[in-house]
Amino acid sequence: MAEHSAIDLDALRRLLRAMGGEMDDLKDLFDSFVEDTPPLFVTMRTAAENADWEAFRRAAHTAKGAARDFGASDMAKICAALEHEAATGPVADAFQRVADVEAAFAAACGALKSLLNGGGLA
Amino acid sequence: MADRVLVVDDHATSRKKLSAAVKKLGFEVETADEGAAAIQLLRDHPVDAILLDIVMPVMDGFEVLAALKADTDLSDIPVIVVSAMEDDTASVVRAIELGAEDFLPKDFDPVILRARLSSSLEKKHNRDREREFRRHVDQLTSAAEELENGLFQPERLKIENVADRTDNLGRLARVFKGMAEEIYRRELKLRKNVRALRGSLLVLAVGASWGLLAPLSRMAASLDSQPLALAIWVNLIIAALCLASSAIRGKFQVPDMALLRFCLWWGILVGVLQQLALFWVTAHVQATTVSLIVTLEGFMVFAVAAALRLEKATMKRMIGLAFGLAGSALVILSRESLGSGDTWFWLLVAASVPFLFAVEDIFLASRRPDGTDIIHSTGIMATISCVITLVVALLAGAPVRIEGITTDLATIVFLIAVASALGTVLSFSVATIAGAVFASQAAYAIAIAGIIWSMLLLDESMSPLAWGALAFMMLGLYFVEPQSSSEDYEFRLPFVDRSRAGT
Repeated sequence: MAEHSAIDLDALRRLLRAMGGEMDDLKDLFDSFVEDTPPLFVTMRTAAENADWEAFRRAAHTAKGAARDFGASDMAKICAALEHEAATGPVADAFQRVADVEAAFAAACGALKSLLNGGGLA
Repeated sequence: MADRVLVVDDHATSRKKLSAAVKKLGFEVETADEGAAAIQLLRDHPVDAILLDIVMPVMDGFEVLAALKADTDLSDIPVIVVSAMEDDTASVVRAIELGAEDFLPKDFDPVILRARLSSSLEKKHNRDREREFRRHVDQLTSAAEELENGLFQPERLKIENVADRTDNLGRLARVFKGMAEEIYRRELKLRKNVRALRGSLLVLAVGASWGLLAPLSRMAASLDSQPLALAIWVNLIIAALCLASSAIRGKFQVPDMALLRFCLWWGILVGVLQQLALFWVTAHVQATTVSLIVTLEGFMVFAVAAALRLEKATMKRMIGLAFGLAGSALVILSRESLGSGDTWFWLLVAASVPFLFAVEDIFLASRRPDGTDIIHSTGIMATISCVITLVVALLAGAPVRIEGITTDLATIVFLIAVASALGTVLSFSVATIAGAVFASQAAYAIAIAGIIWSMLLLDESMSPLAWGALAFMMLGLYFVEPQSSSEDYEFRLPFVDRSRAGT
């Protein structure tokens, strides 16, 4: 149960309602989240290397949106801070903080997987 | 049909979420992963609403919005921007200033999505209805202008789609369309009547002119004129009169090969054969008899047209033909003594006159080159006829001059030429305006005018039997003719749908 605390269940239930209450559709969407999110971390690192903070901000914004959809609050919080900082200039400790996002993403994925397969949303 | 919604988002998961949510609400969904692709897709297949992400690489949501609002074909499609409202208020405000209809938070509830989409689509449908109403009012106004100008055909008013409306505008369009069709029908009927009247007057004039020819020719024959010399001089006078007239009217022009060829055949038919036949026949047969025999023209046109399959040979027409032939037989019985073979021969020659008239009617109606001036063509035809008769006379050693000409004969020759020219020009007009079958009705007029002229000029008289014969022929012509003569004026009337008028 402890790992479920990383997930905002209200957000996840809202997402399930948007899918018409179809659990299979929500699982499909989760697969897409698992697949499409890591490239955003690559984009953020490349942007940080090139000091392209606008590209960094866009990737952080997208990752934040996806994280909020799935109730990954920790990940969303870090992304929001990164987006905010990138909007005004260079991001301090960019690589370390992208690694933090990645770790939060991995934790959220684990929690979501167990929730979706275990029927914890019911 | 379900409304179509376009989802524009560069992130696949976000795009899938929006698409699935919109589909669950019963809409059709299109997707685009970037701004330029979205605009291209909209130009190819316009949609009813757009869900647009703001933060996108290359072309962001603001640029897409600006491009849509600048395009008159796309500017009315409602755009709902998708944004994380709580930390992006400025972007939402900017998007709405750029023309976005509404906004949707990224983590939306499906109830909110339904409410915003429905509201935007309702506004769009209202705008579409209003635009269509304005367009239909414009269509109706244009149709009214056409009607006001008096230049219209019901099918060209193009208000059928407006008349299909179920509201008051549709009712107005139906009433307008019905009235326009009524006016058109009346106008068409009026024009048809005017044409028929004009044709009838022309037919009477043709009759009066040609009817004069038989008694005049007989008068010329009684003054010992030579038929060939008579034809040369009559053709010469016709040519001079017509060419002078066309020169004065500025219509004279050097004829082209097509007109020359037409005038050559017409000349052989009218200026040579018809004139010679008439001059020869009237020297031997009474003018009244010739006039009566001329009524055969109507039957001959029918016979030739039926042989060429231009007319239907119905039972009624065949009966008419029988009446006509019976009438002709009565003429012969009543007027000529049938003792000698000579009389039979000249009666047969007399029958060639209406036959040549009939062939002329059909020839003029079917062979006339487009755009020819009638009087000018008659002048050319008479010139050719004059040359032919002159050559024939020279080759045959016949006199070219009218020997021993008196003032009386000169006057008669001149009158024959004037009556011929007038008759030719008028029959040409009738045949080209109204067709061969209608033109052949001149036979009635020619016969009656011929008899009246013969009585006036030659003191000839008609026995009761001859009047009976005339009645037979008229009855025959009635059976053969009037039905098909009206076909010459047949127009395709527009079909009027009255069934909607009362709805």
